[in-house]
Amino acid sequence: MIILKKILKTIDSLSMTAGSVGKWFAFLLVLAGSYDAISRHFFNAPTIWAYDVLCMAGGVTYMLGASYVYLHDSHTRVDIIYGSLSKKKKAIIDVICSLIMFFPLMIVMLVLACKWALKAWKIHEVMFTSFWYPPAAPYRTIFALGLLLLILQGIARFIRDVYFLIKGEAID
Amino acid sequence: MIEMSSELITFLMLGGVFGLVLTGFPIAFVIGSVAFIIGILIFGPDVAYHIMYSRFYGLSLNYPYLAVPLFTFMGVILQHSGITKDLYNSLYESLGRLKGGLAVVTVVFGTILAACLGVIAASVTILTLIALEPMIKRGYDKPLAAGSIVAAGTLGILIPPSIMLVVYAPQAGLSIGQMFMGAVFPGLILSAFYIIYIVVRCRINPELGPSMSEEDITPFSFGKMLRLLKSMVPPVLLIIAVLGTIFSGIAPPTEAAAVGSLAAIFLAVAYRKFSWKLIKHASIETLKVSSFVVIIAALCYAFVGVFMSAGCGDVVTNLILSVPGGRWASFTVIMLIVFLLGMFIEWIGIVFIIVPIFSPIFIKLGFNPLWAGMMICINLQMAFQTPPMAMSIFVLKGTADPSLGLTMGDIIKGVIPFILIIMLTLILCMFFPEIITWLPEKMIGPTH
Repeated sequence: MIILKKILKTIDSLSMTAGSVGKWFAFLLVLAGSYDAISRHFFNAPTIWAYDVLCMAGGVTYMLGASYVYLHDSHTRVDIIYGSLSKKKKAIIDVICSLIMFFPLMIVMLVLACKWALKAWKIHEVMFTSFWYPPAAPYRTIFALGLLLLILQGIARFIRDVYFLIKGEAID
Repeated sequence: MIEMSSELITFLMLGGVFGLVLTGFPIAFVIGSVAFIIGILIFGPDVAYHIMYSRFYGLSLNYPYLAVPLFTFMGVILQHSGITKDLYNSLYESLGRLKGGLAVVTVVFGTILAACLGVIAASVTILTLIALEPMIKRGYDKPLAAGSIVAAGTLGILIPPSIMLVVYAPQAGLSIGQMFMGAVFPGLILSAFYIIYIVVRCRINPELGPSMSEEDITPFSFGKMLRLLKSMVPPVLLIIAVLGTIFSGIAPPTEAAAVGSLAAIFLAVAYRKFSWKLIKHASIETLKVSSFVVIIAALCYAFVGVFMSAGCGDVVTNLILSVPGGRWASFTVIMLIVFLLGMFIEWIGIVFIIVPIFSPIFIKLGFNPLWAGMMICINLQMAFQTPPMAMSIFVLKGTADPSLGLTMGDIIKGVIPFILIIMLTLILCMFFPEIITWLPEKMIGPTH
C-alpha cells in the first residue's frame, strides 16, 4: 500500500509540475504575441518566428495543462445526474467509463504521438506553416509527453476509484 | 469494417454523444471516444486512428484559437487589477439614486466588463463579488438582483472580445473580426432591453429595487462627474486597444489579445496591484481554462472529421431541409435544437459539433452566414442561463457569499424574464437583420 501511495503521489506531483512549467508558456504567449504586434506595427519589422512560436507555445500550454486539469478534475462534465450521485456510484461510473472511453482512445493517441515524434527526430521534420521552418520534433515530443502525463493521471484516478470501491475509503 | 447506412451512423454518433455525456464522464473523452469507436467500425482502425490523431494534433497548433488563452489571461489580470471596483463605485454614485438603480448599474457595469473581457466566468465572478451584496443589503428583490447579474455577466460572451465568437468564427469559415463587429449591436440592444426591463418593473413595483435612503444621497457635484470619467478611462483605453486594433485591421484577434494582456498588466502596475504572484496566478488560470477548452475542441474536431467522412453531414442537411414550411421553418428548427441542447450541454460542445454540421445548411437555405452565425451565438446566450446546465448560474451560485441567502430558486426565477428578452431580441434580429450585418458591412464590406 505504501508503494501504491507513493506512486500516486509521484503521478500527482508530475501533473503539478507539468502545470507549473506549462503556465510559463501561457505567459510566453503574451510576451511573444505583443512583441510581434508592436514590432510589426510600430517598427515595420515583423518577426519571422512569431507565428510558429505562438502556435507551439499554445500547444505546450494545452498539452501540459491536460494532466493538470485532470488532477483537479476540471475537465467539463455534464453533471445533471452525476452531480447528485453518491461517492460510490461516481467511482463506479468513472471506473467503467475510463476503461471504455478514456484508456483505449488516449493510449492509441499516445502510441501514434510517439511514432510521429520518433520519426520527426529521425528525418529532421520541419513545420511548413511559415517561412521559418522550425523543427517539428520538439513539439511532437511535448505533445506525446502531455498525453503520457494525462494517461498517468488517468491511471492514478482509476486506482483511487477502484481502491475506494473495494475498501470503502479513500486511499489518501 | 462494417457496412452501415449513413442514417444509422448519424444516429449512433449523435445519440451516442448525447446519451453518454449524461454519465457525467468528461465530455472531451466521451466525444472523442464515440468518434474513435464508430470510426474503427466503419473505416477500420488505421484510417480511424489517422483521422483522430491528425485532427487532434493539428488543432493543438491552431493560430486563431490562441485568442482563448490570451483573452483568459487578460481577463484574470483585469479581475485583480482594482480597475473594476473603481468603475463600479463611481457608477453606483451616479446612478444609485434611481429606483432599481443598482440593478441598472449592474447591467451597465456588466456591459463595460463584457467589452473588456471574453470569458463568461470572469464577468459573472466580478459582478457577483462586487455588485450582489450592495443590491441585497439595500433590500432588492433577490431574483431581480440575481437575474441582472446572470444576464449582464453572460453578455461577456457575446459582446466582443468574446471567446465564444473566437471559437465559432473559424469553424463557420467566417473571420473573427467580422463576428466581433456583428455582435456589437445585438449586445448593446440586449443590454438596453435589460435596463428598460429593470426600470419599468421597479417603477411598477418600487419594492423590488428601493432607491437610496435620503441621507445616502449626495447632491450632484462636479467632483462626482470627474470621478466617473476618471474611472472610465482605463476600461475605455483597453477597449480601444483591443477592439480598435481588431476593427481597424491593425492586428488579428490573437495579437490584439496579446497586446490587451500586456496593457492589462500595465494597468495593474498603475493601480499598484501588480506582483509576480498575480502573473503566476493569471498564467495558471489561463492554462486551466485554455487546456480544457482546446482539448474538447480538438476531440470535437476529430469527431466532426469522422462524422463528415461517413456522410452524416448530408443526412442532417436533408433532414433539416425536409422540414415542411420553407426555409424559415428549417431555420426555426435549428434554433430550437440549439436552444434545447443549450439546456443540457455546455456551449463548447455545441459550438464544436453543431457549427460544422449546420453552417453548410444555412448557406444552402440562402441565409447570410454571418447573420445566421450571430443568431446562433445570441441563442447560445440562453444556454448559459437555462438549467440544468447553466454556466452563469453555477458561477453566480459558487461565488456568492452564502450569508446573503441566495437560493437556486431565486436565481432561476430571476433569470426567466431575461431569457424572454433574449428571445425577443432574436425575433427582432430576424425582422431587422441589419442589426447584425450593418456594422461589419460598413467596416469591411459585403458579408455574403
